[in-house]
Amino acid sequence: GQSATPDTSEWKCERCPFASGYQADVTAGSSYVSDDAATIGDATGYDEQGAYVNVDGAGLYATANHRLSWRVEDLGLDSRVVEIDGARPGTFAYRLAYSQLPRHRFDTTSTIFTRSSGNLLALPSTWTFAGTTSGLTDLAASLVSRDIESERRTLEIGGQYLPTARFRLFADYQRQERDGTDILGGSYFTNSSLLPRHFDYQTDQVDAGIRYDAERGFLKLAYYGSFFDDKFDAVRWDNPFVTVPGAEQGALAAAPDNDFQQLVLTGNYRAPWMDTNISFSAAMGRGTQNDTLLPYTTNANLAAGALPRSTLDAEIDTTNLALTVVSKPFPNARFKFAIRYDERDNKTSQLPWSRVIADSFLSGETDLNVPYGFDRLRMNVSGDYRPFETVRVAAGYDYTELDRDFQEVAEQTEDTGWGRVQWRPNQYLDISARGGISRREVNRYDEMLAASLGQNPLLRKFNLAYRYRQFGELSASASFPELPITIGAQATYADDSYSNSLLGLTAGDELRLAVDVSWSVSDQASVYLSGGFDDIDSQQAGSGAFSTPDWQASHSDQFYSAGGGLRIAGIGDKVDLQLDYTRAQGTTQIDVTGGGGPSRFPDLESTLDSLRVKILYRWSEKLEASLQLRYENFPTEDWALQGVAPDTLPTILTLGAQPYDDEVWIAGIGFRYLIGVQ
Amino acid sequence: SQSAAPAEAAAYSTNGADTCLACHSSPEVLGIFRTKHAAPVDPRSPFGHGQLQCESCHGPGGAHAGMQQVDGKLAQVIRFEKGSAAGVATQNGTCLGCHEADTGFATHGGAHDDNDVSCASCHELHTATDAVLGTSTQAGKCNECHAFRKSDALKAYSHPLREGKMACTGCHSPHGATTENLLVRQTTNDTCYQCHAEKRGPFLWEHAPVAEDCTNCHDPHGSNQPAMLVRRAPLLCQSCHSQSGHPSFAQDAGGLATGAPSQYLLGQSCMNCHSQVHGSNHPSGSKLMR
Repeated sequence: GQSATPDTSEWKCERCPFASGYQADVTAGSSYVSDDAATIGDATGYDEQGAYVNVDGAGLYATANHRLSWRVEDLGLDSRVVEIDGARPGTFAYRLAYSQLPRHRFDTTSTIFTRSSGNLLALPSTWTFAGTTSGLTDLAASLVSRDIESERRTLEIGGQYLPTARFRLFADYQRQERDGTDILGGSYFTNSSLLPRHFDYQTDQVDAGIRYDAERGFLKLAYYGSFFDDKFDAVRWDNPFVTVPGAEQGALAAAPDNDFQQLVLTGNYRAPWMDTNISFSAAMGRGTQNDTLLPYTTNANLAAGALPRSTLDAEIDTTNLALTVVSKPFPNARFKFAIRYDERDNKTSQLPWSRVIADSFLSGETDLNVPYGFDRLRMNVSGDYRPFETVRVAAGYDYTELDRDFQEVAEQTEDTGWGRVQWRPNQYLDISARGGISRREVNRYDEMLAASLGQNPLLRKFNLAYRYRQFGELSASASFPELPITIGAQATYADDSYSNSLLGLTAGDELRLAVDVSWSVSDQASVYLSGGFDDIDSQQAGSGAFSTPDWQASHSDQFYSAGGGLRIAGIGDKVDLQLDYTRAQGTTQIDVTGGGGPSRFPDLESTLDSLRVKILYRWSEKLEASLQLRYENFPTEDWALQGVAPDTLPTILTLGAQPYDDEVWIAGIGFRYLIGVQ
Repeated sequence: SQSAAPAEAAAYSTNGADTCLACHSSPEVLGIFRTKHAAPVDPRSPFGHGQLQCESCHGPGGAHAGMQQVDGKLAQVIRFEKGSAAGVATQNGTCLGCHEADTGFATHGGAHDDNDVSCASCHELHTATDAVLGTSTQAGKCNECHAFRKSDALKAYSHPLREGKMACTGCHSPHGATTENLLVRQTTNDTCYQCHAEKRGPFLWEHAPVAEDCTNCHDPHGSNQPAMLVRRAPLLCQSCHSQSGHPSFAQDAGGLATGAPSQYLLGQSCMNCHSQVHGSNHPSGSKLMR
């Protein structure tokens, strides 16, 4: 029965140590990094050899009516995070957050280009042009090291206000700035240069809305706005190769400024009958892009003609509707029905454009731009039933219909049926098995359209092709009443057959395994081990003769991961030890037969060895010292980069990026001080 | 399990938290007093004025010394952990008693609900900081069940989850959503565009599979291939492009740097020239080379 509501007027909570006043903990320390390493510095900021000073910390200032908490992480690194959250609990809350994320892709790259005003990548003052890289005699003397790296900075300001217990107003503004260098191919008709392209992006995002919480549900109306701005309109570069007269400088379009705005109504209702829950979402959005277009070409010698319009005035309307109903007509049975409709309606007008080929010569053709759009209907029904308290069986059917504009397949449907059984004989054992099949049918593969695009009519694009998929999952977790050990194991398998595809992807399968064991040796000590295996294979066929298949390729991605760790707390009441080791190895085997040359590629390999050791010593109630040792070793084998110097490819001037081969020790010492009452 | 005749409804304690804290005063318990659950000024908080303090969540504790019925099993009070006498539905029902509005949107019938995941499997309430709410600690908590995602994050090319600089909730809404894979925005692409808006366009020259679904070419959890591609170029590109000439030629191992270096294999492969692979706004960009 329902317990009588107590008289809480006497519940003084005198023993309750409510947070009041100021309490914080600050860790300051320094680390030494043994070597330069792009991959280790990626996202961490430890990309260069040398010493680093770092600060982490968190604090709380609380009064009877207000809470203000702050957190800083890696303050001394390029991956610093600062978060401030305040609230008058139950009335309003506010947030201010700043984070940086360094991106280090390559530190083995070099280039001849220097960046001058207007984002022009200029050639050295003395430069000898040639038709191929072997003729670029000034190349060696002109190469300058240029790392491919960038940084993302995110500022967030948000808040919410509860005028009444049922209403909630919320708003969140986020500014992302991203700038730095990435790699962009600047091509000419027969050759190309990999450009160290500088980019400078800014995205402003706003989420704001109002929510009403009723007794049995809520209604929320929210606005989402995303506004992207690219500081540059183009990437210009001086062509290092001998070119057609007038084509000495090329220009690639930069990412156009664009925006997307959306209104989203969501709601949830807990119906009193049959434990039914109804949730729905309705979103209408519009994306626009109206950047001033570049001319057809930079080559003044070509009579390229006027653009059909100076801006595209592109517009996308999106519609997203969803309804999910979950109900329990019987105590042990539950039914779920979910339907979802997503539409991308591309309203951009189609116009004739007279393409200039690589600033070299007029194509003499007119291309119509293709405003791709699609609408997708997804529906799934499922039910689960507990014949016994320890057994649960479930089954479901999913239907997807996808209609596309301007593509080889106008209508595509997919039917999926699945079943699942879960057995929990007691609190110590949980075994679940799920399996099913899925058949994707296409109404008609428009070979005429494919041919008009220059495609081999026998090709079937993998996302537009008939596909028969079989899949299965198995998971088990076990713990033991007398032994503080838990074991978890998971396996999944999926097999795809594209049996109507003569050319393109013809088959694919994936097998995944994962196991982990954790042992709480004692209240102070625990050990864990984990392992993973992933094997993704695919086969595809091609036709060099633009006819029936005359070459085959297999692509096998394997991945092993293994890890272990140890935690010991309170050694001699003073010392905590934390140790984690991880090894992860990726291997990709590619075979291409029918090309006339050797079919087997060298394996693409990446091996990560990561060791982290942390020893913490409690000097006093308020002061802790820590020693941290980190070892990361990341050698890779990649034939796409191995031995590819800037002039290895006759017609491509590359940046000479080499496969990663980073090995780093990071040793650090830190002191943590507790401030205020803990 | 032992079933007993339904006991008379348990009574609440006489002094609320002061009763409980007489015995339960270890740091593992007191951490809650640094959190929002222990904010007297918040009328919605368990420790708000007139609320039931510890017994808001753990249920009537008056009979704590004796026995009390929960889900037909003899137990003391509702405990929020694996092996608790209170089933997942009871545990979660207690949390949703207050948080229905916060999490209620599609929680019921969401993937975690389908798998009987309890709120306490992810959330820690009695600690000053809840690991699942922190960007640098969240993935560690999600990985306790999602073992495949844990190994994906170890692959050569992945988002910075292993370094703790990105959270799973950057893309997913674990409490439930009517979107595919519990995504935070309406579609996969809308979710990716939160951080990669430069690829949104709409472009003058669109690349159809890009505008439809980023996961046609990328595995956002991680992959052995650069840019988290699902297969290595040029094979990935050749599975959709068969035009006569170089797109349809077999690129075998004869084209490596040690043989006759092929521009279709080495460096950035197809993107050596078709660098605007996500779309181009250049009037002469229909081949994604401008």
